[in-house]
Amino acid sequence: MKHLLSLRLLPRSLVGRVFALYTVTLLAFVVGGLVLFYRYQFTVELEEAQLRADTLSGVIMPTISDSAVIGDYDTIHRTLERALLHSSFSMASFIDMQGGVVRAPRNERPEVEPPRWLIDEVAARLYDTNQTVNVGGRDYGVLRLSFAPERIAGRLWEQTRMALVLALFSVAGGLMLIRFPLVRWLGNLSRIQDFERALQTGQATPEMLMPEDAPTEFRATFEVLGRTAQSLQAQRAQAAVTLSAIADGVFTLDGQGRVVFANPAACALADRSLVELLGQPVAEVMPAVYRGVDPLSSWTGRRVTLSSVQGREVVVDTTQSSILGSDGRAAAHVLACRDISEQHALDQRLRAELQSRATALISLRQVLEGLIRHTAVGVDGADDIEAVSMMIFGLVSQLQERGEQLDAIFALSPDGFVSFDSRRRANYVSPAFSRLTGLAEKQVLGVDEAAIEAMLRERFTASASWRGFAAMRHDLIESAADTDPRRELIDLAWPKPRVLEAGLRLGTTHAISQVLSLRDVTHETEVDQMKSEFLSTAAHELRTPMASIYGFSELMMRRKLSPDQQAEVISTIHRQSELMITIVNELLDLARIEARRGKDFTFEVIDLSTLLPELLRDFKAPHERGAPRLGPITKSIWVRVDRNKIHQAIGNVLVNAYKYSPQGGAIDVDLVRGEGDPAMVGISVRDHGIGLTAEQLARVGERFYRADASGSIPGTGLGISIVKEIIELLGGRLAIASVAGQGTTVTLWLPATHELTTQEAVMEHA
Amino acid sequence: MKSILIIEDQPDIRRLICWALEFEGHALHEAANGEAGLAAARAIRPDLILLDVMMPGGLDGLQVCAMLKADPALAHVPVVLLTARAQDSDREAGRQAGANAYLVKPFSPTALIDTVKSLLPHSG
Repeated sequence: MKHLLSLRLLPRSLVGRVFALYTVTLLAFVVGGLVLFYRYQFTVELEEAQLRADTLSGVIMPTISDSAVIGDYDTIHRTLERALLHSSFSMASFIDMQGGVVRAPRNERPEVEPPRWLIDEVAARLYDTNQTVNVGGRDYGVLRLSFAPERIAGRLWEQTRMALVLALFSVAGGLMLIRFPLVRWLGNLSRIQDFERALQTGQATPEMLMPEDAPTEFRATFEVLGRTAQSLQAQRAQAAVTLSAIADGVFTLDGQGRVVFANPAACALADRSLVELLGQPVAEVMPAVYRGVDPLSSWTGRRVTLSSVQGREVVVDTTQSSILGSDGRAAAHVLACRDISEQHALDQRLRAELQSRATALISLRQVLEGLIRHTAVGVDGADDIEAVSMMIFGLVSQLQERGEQLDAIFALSPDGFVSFDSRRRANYVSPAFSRLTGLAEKQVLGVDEAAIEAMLRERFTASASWRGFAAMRHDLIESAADTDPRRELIDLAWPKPRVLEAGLRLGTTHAISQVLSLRDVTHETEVDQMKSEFLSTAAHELRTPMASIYGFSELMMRRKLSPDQQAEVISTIHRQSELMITIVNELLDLARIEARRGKDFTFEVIDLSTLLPELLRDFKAPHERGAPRLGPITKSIWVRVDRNKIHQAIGNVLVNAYKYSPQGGAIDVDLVRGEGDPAMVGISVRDHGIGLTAEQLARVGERFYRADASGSIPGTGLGISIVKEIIELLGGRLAIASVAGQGTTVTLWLPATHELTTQEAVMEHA
Repeated sequence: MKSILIIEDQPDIRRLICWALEFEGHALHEAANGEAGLAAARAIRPDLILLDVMMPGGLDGLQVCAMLKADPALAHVPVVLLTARAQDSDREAGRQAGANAYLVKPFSPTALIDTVKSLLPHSG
């Protein structure tokens, strides 16, 4: 306790301590000197006063003795008074034997009033001097000198005071004198503080510690300090360069959390210069980082958003570490801030994207589940992606299947389709459409209906009458729902003359506004045309015999005809009537064959080797013409035919053979075997008549076509047509070979029946 | 006496026409097809031509008619078309070819005589 107290009283600085020691020492000496001086002065003064009393007594004694002898008391009195002048006595008196007293008092006050205790002490040491006046052995009285102690004390006090003042001056001067060198030499030590400050700002140089007048002991110390500081500074500079080079913001903090250093990146983060930062509490500099956190704690990887650093928001990853001092307490801290704005933004975007993906996935799954519900594909999986993939796979394979089905249907469909989107641009073109119109898919896709209409019109025949999309649509909208829209025909001249029936259907979905369908009705149209031509031709053919019958009968009514003429007219009418009957019968035959398409045929397996001879035997050749000659038949040839129809067909061919060989010649009938599978067997009928030109040959089989140009050969032009129909319905075909002027060979090809089952053979012979 | 050329492929019809017109005192010429008819017309220069429309061979009645009308020497000769075709389009085709009259088969011989009379010039 005492030790601590004494320590506490000691000045803290070395200069102060040295100065205090010096002061105490000086004061002790001065005070001691003063005390000794005083004591010496006191003693000397008192001794001198006693001596002066004895001396004065001796000096005035003769006078006093003389005067006492003679009794001259006046002289005594005067002498006493003179003796008291400028002395330290207060009273001189002469006391005679009788007790008379002559007194000379002196009440002079000293110049300086001494303290009481000094007067008392002086008074105690001095005693009055009594000198007996003895003359010649006789006593005349006593001479008494009384001291004035206050006057002696006053003198002493005055001297003391003077000595004190001098001592004080000496002390003050001594202190003053010692202070200057002390401060100058020992004051060098205080430079270390400046040096430290300079060191912190990095501006310290060893010269700062090297004053010329520094004592040698200091010099050595300072040199060591300077070198240490230099290496420290070099390390710090190195660290500073390193820190400026890195992109992370690094704050070095002292133990109290004040900024000691900040690299450029850190300055940028704090938005202040290094000078502004130094010494500032880091919690004020980076409030966002220390919100709710002890500024002196340590942490790693805290993400903080710094609002508006140079006008933008910066996200930093902060780490604070403490540097422990030797005492185990945090001596400094390092705050590292890594700018992860970009990474953070990426993270945010990634997170947002993942979030939206998850949302999309969920809604996709819901949509797909909605779709799947209508189908057989059932998926239950917890994992969205897996479930979605499976559902998509299911749907895609369904779609693919449907697409393939549709493609196959459209590819195989003879009808062409073009579908249009909501802007009436073609978005699908079927292969048949391209085939029918010669417009390639790529020409049509994405093209609007007006352009398609124009492209179709380029291909029209002169008589084409299609009214176009707008008119068809108008009809669809205007006409009642239950009535069929008007039939629209498109007559194309190329790529091939075709008649297409166009149909337009309005779509109800967004994807398809309308569908144009084209059906190839060329054949139907041709058939229609042929039918009307056939009717017209048939009527014409009937009118020709009618013209004779009508004309001749009227002539007979109006004119008087000779009997010969009458006979000729009647013969003509009869002949023409016969022709009419034949025409009507053959028309009916043809109509029946066409209408029944062979359903009324009674098929049986017949041996041609027996059929043909029978048939030729029954055939009535025209007058003056030989019967048809049958070639050799070596074995049975079986065919499956209708007996009556094959009769009619061969009969017609034979009739023609005779008709078209008016100049005569044999008619040869042969059985010929054909190649191929199934094997065909042919019945050929050859004449040596007028024959057919290639042009005529091409038209044989047409209704009412007659090769006879002269008109001399009667006929309807239906015979070969009927043969052709019958043979084709029997599964065979008609072949005609002819050379104009040399003759014609008509061959009826029929499929041969190789094996006759026993049962059929039995039935045949039964 | 007027000369009349009959171009008709069917012999029965030719005879019918001849018999109908023989009492009128005309000179009657016959041809069995288009080519022969055209040649005969150029050779004999008839006062009237009766022409069948549907004939076999290279030229039908309409073509023959058009060729006759195109020939300056024969353009004035009246042509009567005989046809079994009686539709409007057929009549129009006849008019186009320059025919002066159109008789539809079967026709009345009386109507034929009247038509011929109306078309023949009355000078002779």
